[in-house]
Amino acid sequence: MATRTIGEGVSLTRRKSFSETYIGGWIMTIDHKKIGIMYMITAFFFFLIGGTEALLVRTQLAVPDGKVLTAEIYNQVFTMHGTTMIFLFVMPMLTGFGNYVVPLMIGARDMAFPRLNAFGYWVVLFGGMFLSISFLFGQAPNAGWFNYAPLNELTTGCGATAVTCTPGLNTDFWALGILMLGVSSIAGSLNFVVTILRLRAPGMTINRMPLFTWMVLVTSFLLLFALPSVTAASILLLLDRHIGTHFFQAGAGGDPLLWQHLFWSFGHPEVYILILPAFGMISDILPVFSRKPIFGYTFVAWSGVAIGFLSFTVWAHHMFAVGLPLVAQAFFATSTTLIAIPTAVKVFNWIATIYGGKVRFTASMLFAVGFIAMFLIGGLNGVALAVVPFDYQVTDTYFVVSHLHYVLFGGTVFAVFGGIFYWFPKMSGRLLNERLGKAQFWLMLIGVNLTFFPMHILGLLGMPRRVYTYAGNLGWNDLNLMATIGAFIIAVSIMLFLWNFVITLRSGEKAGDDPWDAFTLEWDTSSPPKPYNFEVVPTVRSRRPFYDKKNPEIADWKTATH
Amino acid sequence: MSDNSSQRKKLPKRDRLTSEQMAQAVDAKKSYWPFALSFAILIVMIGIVTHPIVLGIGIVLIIVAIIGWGLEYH
Repeated sequence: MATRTIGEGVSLTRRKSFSETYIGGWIMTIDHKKIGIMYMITAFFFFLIGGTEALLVRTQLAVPDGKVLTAEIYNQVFTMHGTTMIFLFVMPMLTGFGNYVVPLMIGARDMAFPRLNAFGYWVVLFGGMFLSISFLFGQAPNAGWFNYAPLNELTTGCGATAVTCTPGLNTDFWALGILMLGVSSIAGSLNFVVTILRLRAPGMTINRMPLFTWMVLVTSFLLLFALPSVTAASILLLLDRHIGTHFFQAGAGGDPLLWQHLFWSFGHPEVYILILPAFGMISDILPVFSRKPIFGYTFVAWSGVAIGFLSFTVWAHHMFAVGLPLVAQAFFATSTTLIAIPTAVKVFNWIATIYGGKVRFTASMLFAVGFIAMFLIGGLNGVALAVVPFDYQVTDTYFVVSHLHYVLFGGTVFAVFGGIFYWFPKMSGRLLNERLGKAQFWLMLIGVNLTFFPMHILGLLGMPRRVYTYAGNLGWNDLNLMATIGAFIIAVSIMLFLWNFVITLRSGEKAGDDPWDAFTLEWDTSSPPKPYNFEVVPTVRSRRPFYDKKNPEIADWKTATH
Repeated sequence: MSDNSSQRKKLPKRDRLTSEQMAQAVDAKKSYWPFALSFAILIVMIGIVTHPIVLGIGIVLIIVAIIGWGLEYH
């Protein structure tokens, strides 16, 4: 029941409407902060599912001739591990951060289209449920997260040469799930673009935006331009499978490589979609804990834009082994090497930001620094993979698995935890336990390197990716066992985080509004912020508006030219 | 019509509302149509992989959700 006073000594009592109940408040909310939190909780739930799948994969491969999973179940589990981690953990997690933080950072009261925002979240949740219930049908996607043709077809070849490929619903679940999640991504991206371009506080010019906001803007454009190709590919695939077309069937005049081109022209920008917001988080966390402005703001911001443009020119480096013309190989090798330049600019600027600063090694800062180190390894072995003759040798081996996990786990996941430790006090009003956070960081750092570094060597020794078992006489046994032990160490670090999360919500130290002495506008609100964010929309005069407010005598706008 | 426009003129500027007014304004904007539409899309997807009747129910729900969303009083 809800009671409302309408005059002196007079009050009205009425039944609560659904939107006023606890559950109704969450289901019907269009508040960007609540939606951001729902995105993050959902993403973390799928992270646990994807992580469990990873542990199953590593348990199966811990020893030769593993018997934990059958070949078919293994295919489903590793496919769903990749699909879950990319589409249901990293993307929603970064969208959640964007939802929560970006409007606060730019001094807005909400996203431009709040209902569309809520719609985007619910589609992610239901899309994730749709993909996951495929296990209940016993027909989870099983052709890898890239779902290559013609393996993804019902059959391939004609007449007597016809071969059955994937006759079950496995691929249909994948294609329909990806279509659904694409709808959500388009809705979210449009919302971010309009919000960032139209709802910034007075005085916050493009060149004064926080770098996380910058990277969310670039990522949103990437999504808008990259998603159509995988959407088209998924629809063509469904037509092949159910209407009888032959877009990806060589025997009937189609081309299986068309799938790879369409998929990777989405898939490689997708890698940057997964890492650019992480770059943005790191670019906002490092200055606060180094007590300095970011070194070379303009370079950090515009190198993100350069990466965004270049990410559309590198997709065929995933396809060197398919027999591309030499000119194409040279082009894609060059563009892939070229993209390392703006990326290296960022790494240089991050290190220069820390250099000479009064560094505070909080858990958040540790994850940010760990991100730089791990991402650097992933970036460098990525440049190695751009060298065509080397790629020929290690394509489709565990070397590639190592590369992508250093980028996405050592990179994005470290940044995500850095972001959680940094912004959790704003979201909940409580500080996560620093000691547990640091223990989690060191465990995770050890686990990641123990899991993924041996995979470099496994790849060089020729272990192909996606195999469900291997013979014991190939020299791969010890390295696989090390990787499995590392995976379980990562799992322990995640358990530690969950413990930290629970005890902090129960009895964590009160954070106050600005526990880190931060620079940007989200800290100029209460913790957690009021539903309307700001009572008075702030006016911005520099890149560190909250720093200016706290230090009026030495405000940036008095000295800086921007 | 004229009442509405005169009311609108009397409203203070968006960035000068009191905390209470702001909270009420935010609270009033809640909507269940985004949830309903996305749930309807899920039913359509399940219908595609299971049975045409489920698909049909999903399509009807989508139409209802779109109309409901469109007609919702803002």
